[in-house]
Amino acid sequence: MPHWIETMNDPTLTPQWQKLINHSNTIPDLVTLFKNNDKRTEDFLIDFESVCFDYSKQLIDRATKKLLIEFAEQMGLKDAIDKLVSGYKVNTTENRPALHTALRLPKGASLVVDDIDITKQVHQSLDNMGVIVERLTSGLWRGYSGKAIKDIVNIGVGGSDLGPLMTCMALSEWTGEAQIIQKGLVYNSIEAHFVSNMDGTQLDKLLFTLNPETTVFIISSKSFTTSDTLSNAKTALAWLSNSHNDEKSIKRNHFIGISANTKKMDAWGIHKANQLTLWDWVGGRFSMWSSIGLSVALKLGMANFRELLAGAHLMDEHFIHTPFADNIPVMMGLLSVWNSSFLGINAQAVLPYDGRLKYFPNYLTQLEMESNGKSVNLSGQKVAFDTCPILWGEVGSNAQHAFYQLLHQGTQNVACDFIAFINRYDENRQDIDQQLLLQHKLSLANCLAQSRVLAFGNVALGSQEPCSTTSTTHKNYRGNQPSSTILIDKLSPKTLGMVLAMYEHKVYVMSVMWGINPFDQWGVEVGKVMASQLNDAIHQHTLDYDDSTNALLKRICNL
Amino acid sequence: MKKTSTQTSSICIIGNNAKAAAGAMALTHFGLSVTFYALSKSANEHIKRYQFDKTLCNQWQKSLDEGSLSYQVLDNFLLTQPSFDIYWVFLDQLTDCLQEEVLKYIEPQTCDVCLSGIVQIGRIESISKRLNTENVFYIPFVFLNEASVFLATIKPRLLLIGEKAENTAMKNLVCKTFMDSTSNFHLHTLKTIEFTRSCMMNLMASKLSLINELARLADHCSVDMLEVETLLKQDDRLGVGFLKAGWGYGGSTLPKETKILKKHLLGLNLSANIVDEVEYINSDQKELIFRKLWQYFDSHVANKSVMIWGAGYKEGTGRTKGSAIHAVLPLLWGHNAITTIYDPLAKNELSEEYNSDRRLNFANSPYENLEHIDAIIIINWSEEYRPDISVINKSQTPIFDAKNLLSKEEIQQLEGHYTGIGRGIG
Repeated sequence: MPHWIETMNDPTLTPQWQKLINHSNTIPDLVTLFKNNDKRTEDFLIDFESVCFDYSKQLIDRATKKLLIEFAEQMGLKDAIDKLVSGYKVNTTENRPALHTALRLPKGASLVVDDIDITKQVHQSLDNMGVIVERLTSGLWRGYSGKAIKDIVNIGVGGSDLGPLMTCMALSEWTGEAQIIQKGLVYNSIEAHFVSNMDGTQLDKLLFTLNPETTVFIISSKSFTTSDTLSNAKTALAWLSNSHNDEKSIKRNHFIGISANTKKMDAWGIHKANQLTLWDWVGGRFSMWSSIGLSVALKLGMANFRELLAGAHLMDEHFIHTPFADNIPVMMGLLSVWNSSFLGINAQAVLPYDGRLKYFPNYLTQLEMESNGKSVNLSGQKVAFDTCPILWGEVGSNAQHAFYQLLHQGTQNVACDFIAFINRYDENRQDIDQQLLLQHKLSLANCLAQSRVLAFGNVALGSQEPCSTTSTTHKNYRGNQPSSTILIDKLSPKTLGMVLAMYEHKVYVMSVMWGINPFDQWGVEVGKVMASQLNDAIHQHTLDYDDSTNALLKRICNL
Repeated sequence: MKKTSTQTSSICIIGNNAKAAAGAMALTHFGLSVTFYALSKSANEHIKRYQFDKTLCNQWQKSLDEGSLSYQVLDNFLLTQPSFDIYWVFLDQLTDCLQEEVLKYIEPQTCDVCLSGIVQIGRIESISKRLNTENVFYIPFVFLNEASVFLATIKPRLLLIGEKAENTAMKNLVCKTFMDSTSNFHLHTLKTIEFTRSCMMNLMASKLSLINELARLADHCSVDMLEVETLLKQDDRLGVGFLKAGWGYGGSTLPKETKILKKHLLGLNLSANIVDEVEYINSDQKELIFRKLWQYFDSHVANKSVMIWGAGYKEGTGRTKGSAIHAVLPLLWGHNAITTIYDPLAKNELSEEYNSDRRLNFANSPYENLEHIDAIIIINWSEEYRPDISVINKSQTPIFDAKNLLSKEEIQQLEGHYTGIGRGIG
């Protein structure tokens, strides 16, 4: 066991743990908290660059904040952050670093780990990506028939899918217009598609719309053994071979591989020039910044991809160097720990009030729950408190007509993150944008309205009492649901990069406070092993399992 | 036949393209004197741009020698504001700003004004309305064909003239000179002539693109489009031009016509699907020959030596605007092929265009170093003789014929690989 783990205390043994438990029993409701301090945003709001993090509607007071920061200090958070970014083996169960922050270091920065210049490796990889992006977007990359490529299909699952998919959808307005990049070559945006499902549903539907002559598949898999991904890749290969019966030519002109396992890529037949590599120290759900982000770079252009990295790096610097009280990711993480472990709020809703972030909650679901859905600490002991809350979400205005009923009048306590952008659409345009601008403002109004009603319930609507005892109980709004609002000037590659890095660091902060490893996913691995066994059972008609599984197998195998 | 004229009106021509030069030279050819305003610094520098059109260049020199052509820099016109009886303004390749300055000067005058150029339908009529004179004429160059622009201009196959006021063209010296040189002339309103010009050019572009689309099918059906073309020409409902499959059309006329028609249609929220598709096919057609080469070499194009015959957008020209050469060269270079171009007419323009790129090599003969050439791409052929099949056979160099230059008989004599556009082979 590394020395630093031994020094990491069990959080429950710190003096602050008990103090926080005691303190949690004294926290009044949000109406009272705002009555007691009518300038809460002076204490509980952080501005950094164009990001404003307002956590004044969380169930905390000044004492809570002080105790949480002391708790972070006692848990060695500062040291843990330094270890993360300097290449220490923070992923203890797999004995490797988690260096996603290195993926966005600017050229010229220095990070040497085990005598290897990581920054140099990263920028070499980015340059390799850039070459592929330019060849595809300039029309130089040709399919087997010599036609230029119009569509790329990213085949990947989990971290190789959710991050790139979410980013491509969020930043689709940044797709570069066709422009001449050199005489005769025109920069054209390429349509990016994403396939992850093992059952082939997505691929089957998509292939009907694509032309094999002009489609390139990107097989994204860190291990290059993921069965979901490889089964989809095999179907794609069969589809292409149906049009051109020359597997060698197909693989050379229509497949790109992205993996840490070059041997497996070789074995599959990925042409050497079409291989992009990543490293063991890049975790799947933190990998969009690496060559896994190729689909993003193809959709947005390399310059915008670099802007995304620059935004993330800006947040990294903020995370590393800012005192805890003014540090957005640190405060986000501490608040989440406070809600889960001390207030018993085990649900977290993510509510972006912007349709472009449609896939953001899905992305966060993996980032947070796969990272911190753990019950064993770094010393291998079972933890005695609640860790990661159940996280879900939806675009706010849609969620209002889906699950807000539960938030306002249900029995569960749920913490919410509201996310909104102040500026959208061009105010100077005279066409439909004027109407869209009004829609945007209406959406912002809804965002503010919902966080107010969730926080203050009936009081937000003019009642003197938080919860009325009159006969109209079905119209009572209980309030007291804590939330944070992340308000950003406008969505851009840079600000999205900042937001994603912010959540990544929040997750790490939570893990440090709980003393768990956020970088492994053994719970995912177990399913893969069992699925392999049952796949054999389906093909071989063996019934060696529990009664329920055997009964289902019988029906599937028609036995 | 050349005519002599006792000129009664002074003529000023303003224009910076080949059509303006050809129009001026046609008038001097018919014995008139003209003052020509363009953007080049001198008469010699200006005509250098058209050196591939020998008859035009000869007439230019002759007119200068005889004194029937006076060349002036356009800036002088704007500075000195000279007075003429007839102004013939070629709107193409003059910036909006220059057009405006020239028209502003002419606007209050009672002179005659002839206009030429490819502009959105209605623009000529709109200009005519702001001019004080009733004697406004539109002379679109709808009579050009594969031959020299000068030769086509002195004997127009079809002359369309738009008039602001009915029956005035005959009294205008420029219009009358051209009307006297052909029996096939037609007078109509300005807008009708504008519309007709757009229809003609876009029909040609559409017809050629449809032929090219069909040529792709011909490859799969083992049918030779050259033979199909011969048969199509027997049907007088179709006309005989623009039936030849190849790499499409280039130059400036048809691309500009389709472009402004599309803009016009879309601006009015009308469907532009056919024009859109015509533009797409024509653009895609220009790289089709590269794709055939790509398939032949199974995508291993790197380090292949490729000889390209011809670069001009049509036979006998050194102008390369819109030529397939600009689609093929960057692709070959992008895949690290080594290129050699044979086109004495287009050499200077290509050197200028590609800024003397080190990858730009020229050959002095179409057969130079053929034994070391992996493939020949034919974009155009401006020689008076046919390609020598026996020389090609010595090296058996594969031929990729984007112009469909070789006849069926010549292809049969070839010992190496041949592929054209819809030739049913290769």
